[in-house]
Amino acid sequence: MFSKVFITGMGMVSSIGMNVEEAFDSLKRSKSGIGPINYLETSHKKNIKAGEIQKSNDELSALAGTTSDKYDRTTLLGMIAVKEALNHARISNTEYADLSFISSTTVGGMSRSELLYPFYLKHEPFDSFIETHDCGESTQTIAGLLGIKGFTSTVSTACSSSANAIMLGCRMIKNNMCERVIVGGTDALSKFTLNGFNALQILDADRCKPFDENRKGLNLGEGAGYLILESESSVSKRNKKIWAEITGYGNTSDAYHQTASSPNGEGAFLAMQKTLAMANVRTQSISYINAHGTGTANNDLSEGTAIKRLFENNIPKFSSTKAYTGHTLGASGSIEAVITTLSINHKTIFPNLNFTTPISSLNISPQSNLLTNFEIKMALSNSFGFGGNCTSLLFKQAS
Amino acid sequence: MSIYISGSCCISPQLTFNQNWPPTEINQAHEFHLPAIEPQYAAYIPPLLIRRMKKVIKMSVACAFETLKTSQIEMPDAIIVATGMGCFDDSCRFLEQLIDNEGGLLPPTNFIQSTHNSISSQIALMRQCHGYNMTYVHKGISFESALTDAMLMLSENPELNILTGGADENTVVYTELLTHAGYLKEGTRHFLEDEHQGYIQGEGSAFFMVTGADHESCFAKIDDVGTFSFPESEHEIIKNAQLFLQKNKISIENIDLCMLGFSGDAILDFKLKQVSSSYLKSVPKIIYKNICGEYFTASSFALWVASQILKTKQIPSYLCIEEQKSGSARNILIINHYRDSNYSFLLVSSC
Repeated sequence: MFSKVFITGMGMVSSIGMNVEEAFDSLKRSKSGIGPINYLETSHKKNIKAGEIQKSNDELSALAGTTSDKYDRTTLLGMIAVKEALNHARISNTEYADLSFISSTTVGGMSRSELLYPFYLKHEPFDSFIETHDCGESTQTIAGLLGIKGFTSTVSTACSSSANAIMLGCRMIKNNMCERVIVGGTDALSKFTLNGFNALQILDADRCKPFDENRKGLNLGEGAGYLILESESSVSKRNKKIWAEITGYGNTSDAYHQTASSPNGEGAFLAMQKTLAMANVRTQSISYINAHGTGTANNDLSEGTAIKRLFENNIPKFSSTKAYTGHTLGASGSIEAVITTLSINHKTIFPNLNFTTPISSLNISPQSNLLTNFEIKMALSNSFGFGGNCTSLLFKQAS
Repeated sequence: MSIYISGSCCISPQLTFNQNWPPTEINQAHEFHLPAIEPQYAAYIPPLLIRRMKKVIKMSVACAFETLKTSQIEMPDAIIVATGMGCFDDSCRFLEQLIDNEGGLLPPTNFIQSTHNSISSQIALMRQCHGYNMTYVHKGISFESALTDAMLMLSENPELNILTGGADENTVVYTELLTHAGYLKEGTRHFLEDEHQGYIQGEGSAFFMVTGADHESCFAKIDDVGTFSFPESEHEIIKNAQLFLQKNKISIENIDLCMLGFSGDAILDFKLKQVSSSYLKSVPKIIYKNICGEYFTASSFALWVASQILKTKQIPSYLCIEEQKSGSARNILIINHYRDSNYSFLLVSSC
């Protein structure tokens, strides 16, 4: 017997707030977290804006409840959001050992490695960073600190990483491999990614304008988002408050190019189609799409094309929330899962900021102002990554 | 449920690529590491890409394509890759460029290739495969995560053919950083008797075609995968092993070969040695990291060895830590560990 999958807790930290409540407040007030870079030591401080969390690693350590200075920023952000999700789901620390944990990240401990690597190159003494460099480190550290003993793993599929972590968690619950699992992702800003995206020339020097004809590129962000997923039996045993149900998911490969999305949005189209087919839902039933919408010329055209292909003349309301948080890479799928769940519960669509002109070849417009009292029975959330990794998730209002 | 292996391919520090089992001559470590023997890539990868791709991607693509060939599957339904370090060489190159010239115009190539999913996506791209595509990066249990995913998927639809594998590359920088951190030691002929700390860094790539239904071309099956981390003592490992076997309704007496992931580091191997001399006392045992070295996805090499033993009934003497009665094992238990932090069980049996 397959189990249903319910969301019973959420945690999120990003440039628009250190918890879900603060994020919700920023989203309602159209308050973006994109601004000057203050904490990351980069020579691009003056010319590149980002969704940087305005806290030092020491301040984040305090929020994460550790006094040690040995954890990298990715781990600290993850820890803060995981703890919030656990508290939100009213899971006490005596229950942590039984939990499973699927996390994700794109560059893991890079923010620490990049500070120490120059010393290695210059043959000067340095603290070892090879143990904290890999992507599994943040997951293993968080699991260790909380005493999580269930199946623990880490996904890395570029910008769809945490959507895939959520998907794996769903499949584990569906197949009764576990009753409760923490799923999501975390990524700190690093010089590595900032310079990488800059080298690709897909950063907007100003605030990004997803789905706008004159979009110039994306803003990077940082953060972490986690959900607590529980099975039907776990929810009924514990009489848990349900925030939403995840009824479908689809993972496909665009198989077009290492970094670019295909012009017809094949991977995105197939991912959304697969997701709806799994839930046995028609396109008309979808009331909202939280789009991947990075603000790059390529992504938004490709995703918009895929949406048009699938929904034809009945395109649901859609918006990208990347202009709030910036593109948080490995964390974006789970941060947007939290935002989508907030949308469903508060009957609110958060606007796609900075939009004025539709992309001429598509002529579709995202929701560009706050929409309240809007019933969302079902919503899709899209995440697409380099390498053509496309994942779509379907969220259903709790009955 | 069990999943069935219908094709495989392995690149390792030994001559394994052309399904040679067992390799007759064994390559020894070069100081701190055991380098993989790479095949001629031209049969699998266009020349332009061969120059651009780093070792971990080339090894994976060659293994993936050879696995598709041996299993006679044109288009896999899913591609699931495990890699602990991913494209570390590309990451280092890009780091070096940005340290040299941050603020200048940097070439994006190494950055693009540095993403961990570039292995699985490159395979999908070259094969034009639009199916499920996933990458696991969880240290010493990355490959076990990929297998767990494949088992979940096949339990829902046994008809699928899933291409899954593990791959990690060694680089000069990686060896230097591991040596700096005190993990490595120079190769020794006394793999298990050496009382020093440290292991030999290895590398390689092993890919498998797995499916949920037994058919003629299948030569081994994976009955279950189990993982856990940071056991406090050997008792916890034994307890977990007992639970794992119990769940699979098999007793330790019915395991006719145990493959132990000793790394050669006397300290890190300590708990598993205790398990070996108590719980596994009367089970025939062999090792494998003396020929592949230690790396995050070494368990994919172990699975390849197990499947070859089941297929050919041959256990080479250089893997034996005791006299072997015969090679006719039916049920193999692999117990792998990575730096005494990640442990896993793989139950593999003949079809």
